[in-house]
Amino acid sequence: MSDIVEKDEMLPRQRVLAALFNKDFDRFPAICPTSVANLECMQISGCHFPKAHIDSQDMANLAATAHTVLGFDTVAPYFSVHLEAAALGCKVNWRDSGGMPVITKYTLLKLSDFVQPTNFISQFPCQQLIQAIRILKKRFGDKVAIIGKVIGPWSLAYNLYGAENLILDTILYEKQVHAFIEELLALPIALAKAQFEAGADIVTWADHVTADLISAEIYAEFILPLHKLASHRLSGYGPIILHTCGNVIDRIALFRQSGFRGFHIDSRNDISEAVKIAGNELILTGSVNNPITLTSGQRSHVSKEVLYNIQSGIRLISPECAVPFITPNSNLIELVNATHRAPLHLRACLQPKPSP
Amino acid sequence: MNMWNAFSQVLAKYAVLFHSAIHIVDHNGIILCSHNDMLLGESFLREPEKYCNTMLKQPIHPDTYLFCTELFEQQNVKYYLINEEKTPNQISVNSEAIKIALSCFLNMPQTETGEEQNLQLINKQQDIIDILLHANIKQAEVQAMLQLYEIDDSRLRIAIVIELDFQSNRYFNININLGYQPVLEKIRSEILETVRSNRYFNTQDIYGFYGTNEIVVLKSFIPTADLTRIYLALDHICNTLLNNLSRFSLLKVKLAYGNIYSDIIMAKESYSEAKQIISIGKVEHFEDDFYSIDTIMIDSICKCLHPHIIYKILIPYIKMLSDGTGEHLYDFLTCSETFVDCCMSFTRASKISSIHRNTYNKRLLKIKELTALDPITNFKDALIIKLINVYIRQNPDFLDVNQMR
Repeated sequence: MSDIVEKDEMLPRQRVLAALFNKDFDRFPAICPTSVANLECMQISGCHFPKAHIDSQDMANLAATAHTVLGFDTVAPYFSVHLEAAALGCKVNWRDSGGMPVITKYTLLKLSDFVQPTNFISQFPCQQLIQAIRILKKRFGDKVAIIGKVIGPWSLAYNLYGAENLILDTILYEKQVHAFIEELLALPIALAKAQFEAGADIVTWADHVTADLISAEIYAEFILPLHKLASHRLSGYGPIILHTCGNVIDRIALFRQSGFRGFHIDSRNDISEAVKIAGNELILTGSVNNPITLTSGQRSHVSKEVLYNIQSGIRLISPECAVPFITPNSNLIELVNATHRAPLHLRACLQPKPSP
Repeated sequence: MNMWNAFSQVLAKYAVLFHSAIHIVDHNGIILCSHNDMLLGESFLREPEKYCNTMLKQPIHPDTYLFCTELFEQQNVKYYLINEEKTPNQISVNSEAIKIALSCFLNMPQTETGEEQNLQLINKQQDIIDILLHANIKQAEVQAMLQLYEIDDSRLRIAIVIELDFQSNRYFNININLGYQPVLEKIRSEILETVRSNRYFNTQDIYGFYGTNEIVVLKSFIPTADLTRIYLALDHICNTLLNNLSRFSLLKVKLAYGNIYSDIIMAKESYSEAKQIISIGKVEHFEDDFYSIDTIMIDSICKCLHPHIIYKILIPYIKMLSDGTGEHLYDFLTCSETFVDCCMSFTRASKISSIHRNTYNKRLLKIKELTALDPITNFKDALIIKLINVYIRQNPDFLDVNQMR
């Protein structure tokens, strides 16, 4: 548990939401928009993968350790990116504590095979996630912020059809791809609404529109309109944090137009530059490096990187993506502690800059 | 980022990759840079020079192996790289990879502005192109470079070659400075930027100039069993490239791509294939700008014919057609090829070539008389006739050498 002894003026949930909405906060918040589940927390909670991927009680128990063991200001029970795909008929190997799940068989051989499901939310994987959020809400009430997660239409299309196929079809059959992801959009919107209604305070919208796979132009043409639509339809429910791994610096200006409240950024980007581009409309969270700092580094490296992020203008500190299972608790606790003890005067770095 | 900070990041990255501990020490064995900052300043290996390029057991932890190698020399002080690994199998190879990665920073400026960083990004792409297309590729150097720049070597790769021909008026057959050159230098970088900003390219694609008037793109694709769709996609991508480049009015381009390879080391092969397609395409379709293999399929086949076919089939027939004097050769060739191209239809061939049907018939009978080739009834003969025509166009000197003109 975090070794901070100073008196908190705000509850973790208040702190997170204040930072997310540009308000004053008592400490910099440490959050987990993606999974922080690791082997140590699995042992402590007694909830292991694969069951903890798809069983609401285990999902909730393992998620709770993010706050009770590691001290994060948030908890997040969706650890993989495969629940929707499983609900839509993909074969998923949920694996064990040795690695994240993988899809072993896509449901679609061609885009036109897709049929909009009528009972998506009532599918078992979706119901387990919603139930896990209810359990967490009951346990933490308004004390800790609960972060739900949905897989956006682009990533969902990867899962259902294969990233390699989708990207080729983007070149060869643009219209069909447009139509397909437009159809898919209804699913994450419905699941996000259900998670907010179950008690989620924030929902992470994972859409892997990284520069390693597609250009900013393709993002702007194919996906940005859907992101705008999603943020509009969910505006009455709660804030959304977009998550995209990898290099995205050339499209942060576009993310800002999406209407999403936050963006979860990877450490491979120039953070100061990203903060400058994001302006006030898009609050960045991140970006402590996973493989080098959190998994292989020492506590001193972690605290140094937390400070670097805050000085670069990040107000909600988090690991850059889902942490590897072998990440030691000591480093994750150091991430939280270094974030919480960061001097508040550094907020001056966060003074909103005029949007370009 | 100064050189030592850059070193530190590289060491941290490779320590994770190879599950090793890596340090840079001076000639006294003092750690100056390490994957672990806590070890800085500690004395590690006395007189490292003694152990250069040798593997030894770690004195304190005998289950660990050390590999020491000289890294560089600065102001008469030598610096050494020491790599510690649990197993000895790969230690020297891994050490070499780390050394190559570090060597990229040795010639780097010590400080860096934002502008220089951008320049480095462009140079990074250019470096990779230069290394991959170099005549003697060193596998270890390529691997180190790819790891350093986070280029995914599991992707399929294909070379797209864009030959640039800058149009300028030349009034005489001598070089006169007509003021084009400064403009060309400026637009060269704009052209590269235009190529780079193609909507279908991503950060795993590698671009750069190769030579003065050639841009090479090493396009990446996620591995898939269906290569057909990749080739179709490439046609589409090349057409968008041409479309984007069409705004440069001073520029004429020739564009083609090579085969797909699963190993990035084979990029050079793909590049050579693309170059060959352009050179073949220029013979038959000089005005075209994009040479796709489906438009020059027969030309491409003809370029790769086995010498056996050339010397035993094509050349003997050409000699027979020349009728000893070479007088009617041109007429025979033109007529016969048009006939084949028109799917052996007299009506269409005579209409296209404005030659009377009866004359056509007579010429084909003459060909049959001279060579026994009968394209009217035999598909194989029709194919030989097509190949003869393409072969002669691809080898214009052939007729002169054989005095058939």
